[in-house]
Amino acid sequence: MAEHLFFLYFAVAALGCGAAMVTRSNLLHAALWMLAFFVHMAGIFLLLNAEFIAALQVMVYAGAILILYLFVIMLLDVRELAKVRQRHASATVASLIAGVMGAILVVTLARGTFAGTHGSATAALLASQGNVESVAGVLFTTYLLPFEVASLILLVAMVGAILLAKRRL
Amino acid sequence: MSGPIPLQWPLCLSALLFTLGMVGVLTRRNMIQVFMSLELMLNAVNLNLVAFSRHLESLTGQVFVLFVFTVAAAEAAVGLAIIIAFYRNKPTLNVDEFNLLKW
Amino acid sequence: MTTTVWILVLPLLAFLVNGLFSTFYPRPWSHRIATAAVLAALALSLGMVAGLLTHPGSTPFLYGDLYTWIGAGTFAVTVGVQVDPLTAMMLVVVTGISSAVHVYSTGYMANDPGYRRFFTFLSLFTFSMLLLVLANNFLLLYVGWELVGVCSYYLIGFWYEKRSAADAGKKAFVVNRVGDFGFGLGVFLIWVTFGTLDYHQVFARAGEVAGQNIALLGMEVPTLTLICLLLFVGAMGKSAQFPLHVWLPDAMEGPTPVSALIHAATMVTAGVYMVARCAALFDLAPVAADTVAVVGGFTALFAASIGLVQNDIKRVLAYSTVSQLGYMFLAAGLGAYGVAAFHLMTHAFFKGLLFLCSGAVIHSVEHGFHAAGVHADPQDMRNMGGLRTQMPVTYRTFVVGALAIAGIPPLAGFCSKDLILERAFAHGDRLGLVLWGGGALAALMTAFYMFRLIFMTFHGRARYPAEAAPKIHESPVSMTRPLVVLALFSCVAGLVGWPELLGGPSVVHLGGGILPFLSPAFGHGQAGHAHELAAAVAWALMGLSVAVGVVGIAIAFALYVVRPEAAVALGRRFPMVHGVLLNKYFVDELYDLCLVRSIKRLADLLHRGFDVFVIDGIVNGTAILLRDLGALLRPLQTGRVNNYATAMVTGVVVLAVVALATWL
Repeated sequence: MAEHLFFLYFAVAALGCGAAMVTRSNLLHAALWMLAFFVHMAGIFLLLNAEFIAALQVMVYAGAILILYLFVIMLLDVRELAKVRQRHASATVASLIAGVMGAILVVTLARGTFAGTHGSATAALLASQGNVESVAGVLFTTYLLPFEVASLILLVAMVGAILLAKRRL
Repeated sequence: MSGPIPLQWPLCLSALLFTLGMVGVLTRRNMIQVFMSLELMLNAVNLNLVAFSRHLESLTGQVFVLFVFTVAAAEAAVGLAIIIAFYRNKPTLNVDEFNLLKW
Repeated sequence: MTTTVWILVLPLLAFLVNGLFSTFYPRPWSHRIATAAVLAALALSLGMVAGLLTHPGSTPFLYGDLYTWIGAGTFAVTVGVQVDPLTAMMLVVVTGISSAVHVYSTGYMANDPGYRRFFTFLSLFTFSMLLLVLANNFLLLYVGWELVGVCSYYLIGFWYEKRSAADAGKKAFVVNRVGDFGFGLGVFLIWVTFGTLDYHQVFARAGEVAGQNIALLGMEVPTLTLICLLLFVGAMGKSAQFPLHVWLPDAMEGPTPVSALIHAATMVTAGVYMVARCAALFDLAPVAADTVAVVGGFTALFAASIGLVQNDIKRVLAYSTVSQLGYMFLAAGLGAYGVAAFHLMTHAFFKGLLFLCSGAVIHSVEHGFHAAGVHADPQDMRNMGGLRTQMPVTYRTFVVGALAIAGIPPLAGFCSKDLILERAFAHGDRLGLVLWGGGALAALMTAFYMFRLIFMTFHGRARYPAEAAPKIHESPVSMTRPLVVLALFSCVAGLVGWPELLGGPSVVHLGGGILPFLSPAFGHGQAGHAHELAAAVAWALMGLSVAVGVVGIAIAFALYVVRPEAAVALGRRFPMVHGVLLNKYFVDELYDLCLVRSIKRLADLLHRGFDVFVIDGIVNGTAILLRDLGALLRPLQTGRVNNYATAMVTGVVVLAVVALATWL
C-alpha cells in the first residue's frame, strides 16, 4: 500500500518537475528542476526493484550530466540567452501532435496486456543475491562485448567533445 | 490497492514523461533546453525498461538502462560541445537561427 | 547446294572482313579480298550454268531450305535458295559485271579516301543482289530487295560531303520506298491468299485462285491481278519505271562504277527479274500483264525522248537505262519473259560497258581539268569533244557499246531488241502494234542519242580550255581491261539468242540458245499467245529495226558532225519542245508541286501545331508544373529543426493511428 502511495507521489512529482523544466525560460531554473526530476526518477527506480539503477541515476545523471549542463550554461551568457523568445509559431500545433502521441501511448499501454517469457530474476532472488551483484553477473557475462563497446563510445564521445569545444588543438 | 505496483502505472508514467519531453523538443527554441528535454525522453525510456525488467523478471532491461546511460552521457558531452562550438560562431542558442539546412 | 551457299557467302565474308578489319591492313588488300570473293562467286556461277546445261530439264533444279527463319503457327519462312535457269543467268550477270566493276574500281577509285568503304559496300551489294536472285520465297526476295536498296542509297551518297550526292541518295531511298510499299503489300496479299510465301507452292497453286476476287474499296478485284499490280509497283520503283523513274538520273551522283553496277546492270533489273520470276502469276492476270507492257513501252519512249537533249554524259546513259528497262517490261508484260531476261543480260553487258567508258572519260577529263586548274563540269559533254585521239581504247569500246544498244547486227542489242519488237508485233492485237510502234520510235531515239553522245564527246574539236588538253589521257590498264572484256561480251552475248530467221543460235553452235534454256523457269507461259509471223513480215521487221538504228546514227552524224550549228538551230526553232525535254517533262517539278510541297506544308503544320504546341507543351508543362509545385512546397523547408522534428513525430503518430486502427 505504502509502495503504491510512494509511487504515486514520485510519479506526480516527476511529472511536475519535468513540466517545470520544460517550460522555464531561465536555463538555470530549468537545470535545477531537472535535478529534482532526476532524483524523483531515482525514487521510482528504487520502487521497481532497480536499486543499482537508482544509484546510478543519482550519480551519473544528477551528478555528472547535470553538472555538465550547468557548466555549459555558465560558460554561455545567461542574460543573452534569456532574450530568446521561447515559444515559437508552430508550438501549439507541435504540442497538439505530441499530445495525440501521448494519448495514444497512454491508452494503448493502459489497456494492454503484456505477456512474455519470464526470466529467473525474481524479486526474491534479487533480494537474496543483491541487486548490484545480479546486474553485474549479467553485464559481465552475457553483455560483456556491448559493455566494452559502450566504453569505446564514451571514449569516442570524449575525444569528439574535446575536438569540438576546443578552440585550437 | 494491494500487491506489487501494476505494470501499467510505470508504463503510463513513462508515456506521459516521454510526451512531455517531446513537447519540449518540439516547442523550445533554446538549444540547451531542447537537450534537457531529450534527457527527459531518455529517462522515460529507462523507466520503461526497468518496469518490464521487473515484470518479466529479467535483468536484461536493467543492463540496457546502463547502455542508455552511456549513450546519454556521450550525447550530452558531444551535444554540449557542439553548442559551445556554435555559440562561438554565432552568439545565440536560438534554434531558429540555425537554419543552414534551408536551401 | 553447297556451291550455291558459297556463291552467297563469299561476298558476305568479303563484306564482313573489309567492313570490320580493313583499317588493319594496307589499302590494296581491300580490293584484293573483295575482288577475289566476287571472282570466286563468278567461277561458281559459271559452273552452275554448265551444270544446268549438261542436265537440261532437271526441274526443280536446285532447291532447298537452309533453315527456318521464322516459324510462328502456320506462318513459316525459311531461308532457302533456288537455282533455275533464270537464277543461273542472273548469277552470271551479277557476278560477271560485279567482277568487271571491282577490277575497274581499283583504277577509278585509286585516289579516293573512301577506298576501303567503297569495296566494303560493293561486296555487300553483290551479296544482296545474289540473295535477291537466289531466294526461294518472297520474304527472302524482299530482304534482298531492301538490302540492294540500302546499298544503292549508301553508294549514291558515297561522296556524302557533297550536298547533291546526299540529296540524290535520299531521293532514291524515298522514291524506292513508294515502290517497296506496294511490293510489301503484294507480299502480304500473297500470304493472305496462298498462306505461304514459297515460290513453288505459290506458283503451283496460282491456277486455283485465278477466279477469286477480293473486295477492295467496295469493288470486287481479281486477287491475282491485284497481287501482280502491287508487285509491279515495287518493280516500278526499283527499275525506275514511269512515274517512279525520277530517282535514277539523280543517282548518277554516285561514283561511276556504282552507276554501272547498280544503276545500269544489276539492281535496276531486279524489277524485271521479279516480274519474270512471277511469270506464273502474271500469266493468269492479263490486266496486270498489259499494265506492265504499257508502262514499260511508255517509259521506253518517254525516257528516250528525254535522253535526246541531255548534256550530262551520265544522265544520257541514265535515261537510256530507264528506256531500256522499259523495253524489258514491255517484253515481260507481253508474256515474253525469256526475251525480257535475254535483253536484261545483253543490256547488262553493253550498258555496264557504256557506263564504265563514261566513267573513264569523266575520270580523265576531271583529272585534266584539275591538273590544268580549269573549273568546269567534267560530266558536261559541252566541255568535251575530240577525245578519241587521247583515249583510243575508251573510244573504241564505247562505239562497240553504242552500236550494241542501237541494235546494229550482229551485236548483242540487235538480237534482244529485235526479238522484243518482233514479239510486240506478233502479239496480234492493237496493243501489240502500238507498243511495237513506240518501241521502234524509242529505238530510233536510242541510236540518235547514243551517237550524239559519241560525237559530242569524242569527235569534233575540243571545247575545253587548251591547257587541259595535254593532261587528258587514256585510263590505266586496270580500267581499260574491263572495258575490253565487256566490249567483247557486248559483241557475242547476243549470239545465244541469234534470230531464228538467220538460222537461230544453232548456227553458232549454241544449241537451242537462251530462250529454250530459260523457258522451264516460266512454267507453261512462254509467250503462249504470240502468233507465228510470216517469213516476209519477219524479214521486214528485222530490216526496219536495223534501218531505224542506222537512221538514228545518221541523223546524229548529220547534226553533230556535219553541221554542228544545225543542232543548236533546231533547239532554237522548237524552244517549247526543247525546254520540255531538257527539263525532263517537268516531272520533278510536278512532284515538288503536288507532293513535296504539300507534305512539307503538312509537316510544317504538324511542327507548329502539334510538335511545338502539344509535344513541347507537355515537356515544358512538366517542368513548369514541377517548378510551381516546388514553389508551393518550398515553405515546408523552413530550415528549423523543430519543424522537422514535428514532421517526424507527425509521421509516427499517423503510423500509430493506422496500426491501431487495424489492430483494434
